[in-house]
Amino acid sequence: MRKYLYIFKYTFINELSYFSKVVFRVISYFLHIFVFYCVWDYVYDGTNKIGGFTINQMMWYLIIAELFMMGVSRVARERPIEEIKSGSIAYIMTKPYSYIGYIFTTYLAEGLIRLMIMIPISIIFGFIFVGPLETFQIKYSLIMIISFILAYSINGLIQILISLFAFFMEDAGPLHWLYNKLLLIFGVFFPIDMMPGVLQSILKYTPAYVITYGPTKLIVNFNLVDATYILMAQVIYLAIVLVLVNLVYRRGVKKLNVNGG
Amino acid sequence: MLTEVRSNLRYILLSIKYNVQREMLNRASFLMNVLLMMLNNCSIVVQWLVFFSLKPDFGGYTFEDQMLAVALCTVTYGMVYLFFAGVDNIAKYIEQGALDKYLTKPKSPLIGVLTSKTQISALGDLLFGIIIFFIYYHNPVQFLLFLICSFFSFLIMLSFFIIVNSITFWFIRFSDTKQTFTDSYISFSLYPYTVFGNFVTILMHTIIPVGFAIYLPVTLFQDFSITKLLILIGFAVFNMILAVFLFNRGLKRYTSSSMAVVNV
Repeated sequence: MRKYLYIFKYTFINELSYFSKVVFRVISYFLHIFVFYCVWDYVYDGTNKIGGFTINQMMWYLIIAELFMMGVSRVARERPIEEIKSGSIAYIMTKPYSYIGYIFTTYLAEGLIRLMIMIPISIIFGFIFVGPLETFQIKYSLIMIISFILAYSINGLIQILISLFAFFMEDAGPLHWLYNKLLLIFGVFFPIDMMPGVLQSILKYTPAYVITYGPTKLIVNFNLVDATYILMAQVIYLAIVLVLVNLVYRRGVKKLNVNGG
Repeated sequence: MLTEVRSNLRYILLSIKYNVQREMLNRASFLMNVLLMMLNNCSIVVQWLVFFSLKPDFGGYTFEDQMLAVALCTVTYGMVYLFFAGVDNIAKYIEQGALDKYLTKPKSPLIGVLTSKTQISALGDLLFGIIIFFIYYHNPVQFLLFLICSFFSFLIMLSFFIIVNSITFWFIRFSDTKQTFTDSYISFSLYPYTVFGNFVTILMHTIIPVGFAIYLPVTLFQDFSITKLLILIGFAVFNMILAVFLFNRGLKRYTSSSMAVVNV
């Protein structure tokens, strides 16, 4: 475990040194929120609730879900593909730690520093655009945090899983575009509740439900029944993705062909 | 003068041809990039289907108008990044002092950098935009207008990207800031200006020229006028002249880092 703590610490310090990049990420985040505020403000004109969400809840939903997308580290979607393509994965495989563990720990450390900066900023943005979240229930904060951590972990593992397809195909990058768009459209831009009935029941089985929609819904509009469903779904998802990541990694490593130099 | 233009045009076409041929060496990867980008862009259509199901009209913008804006945006983005993806590297090369290899060539350094790279997924954007246009607009005259608007919108986007990258000649470490400008350009071009307030609309017609590149062509389809078309053409040409001027002016301030790698 100590070796993973060292990787975590090293990545955390390294990420701190690129502070200017964080500033520009914040500007980009603000722009996204601003554009969506304008669009939703227009859509809500003369309407009190859409899909059970008031404009206040909708904007907070968007700010929190977008925070997740902006705060997430890119290491799990980029590094395995680069290392498999270049063959440098062979060098890391000789180290006394698991490759998946190494990427996942780096992903967590980078995400932590990003979120530490982005969370207070997202709260400020929320207050600027629509004021305090009227339906926030602080007594359930612990459940919300657990759900958020589970979502972040599932997302990292799914990204690693997709990246590991680089063992079998030349370029796994385009698969990440589709995965990200799934999260954006069905988990960030629109809560699942706004989708037509048939689509809603299908979307509850997709990563968008456990990664973006679920934890954000708990923060914006908490209820115990939803919380139970979402947490259960997250634990099941986590277990399945963990098994799949290890399976694909073991199969992929057998196909790995590296020329020495 | 004319010989020089023809020579530069030939150089651009050859560079693009070799870049695309290089990318097509791996057919599977090429097809996957193009097809998945088209599929990826379908999400924009889904997004607007949902929005228009909630509100049928966005300040005079119908669903067809919005799809036209999407088509224009993806086609121009596709043209810029399929033919001149090197534009994204200008700021980085200036910061690293790595423009030397383009200075040693007998052609314009700007053309050299612009054509140094292609982004093959941009072909997916280009095809997606054309398909979207044909789904909603069937008149040949409209297609001709679309071609004209796309070309001048492409000039505006390319020149805007050259300008924000060239600012790095005067302000060190501008590459992160220029990313914010280019992101803003894409973000605002995918939404109707009618949802934004006056301040943003002015911003979109000055600092970030989305107003001329996307909003103006949409109004040309809604209500054609030769004056508007001339404004679009004039603005695009002026912007391109400004971009070339700024790059060449900035080049005089360029400092090499002695990374002299000459591509023969």
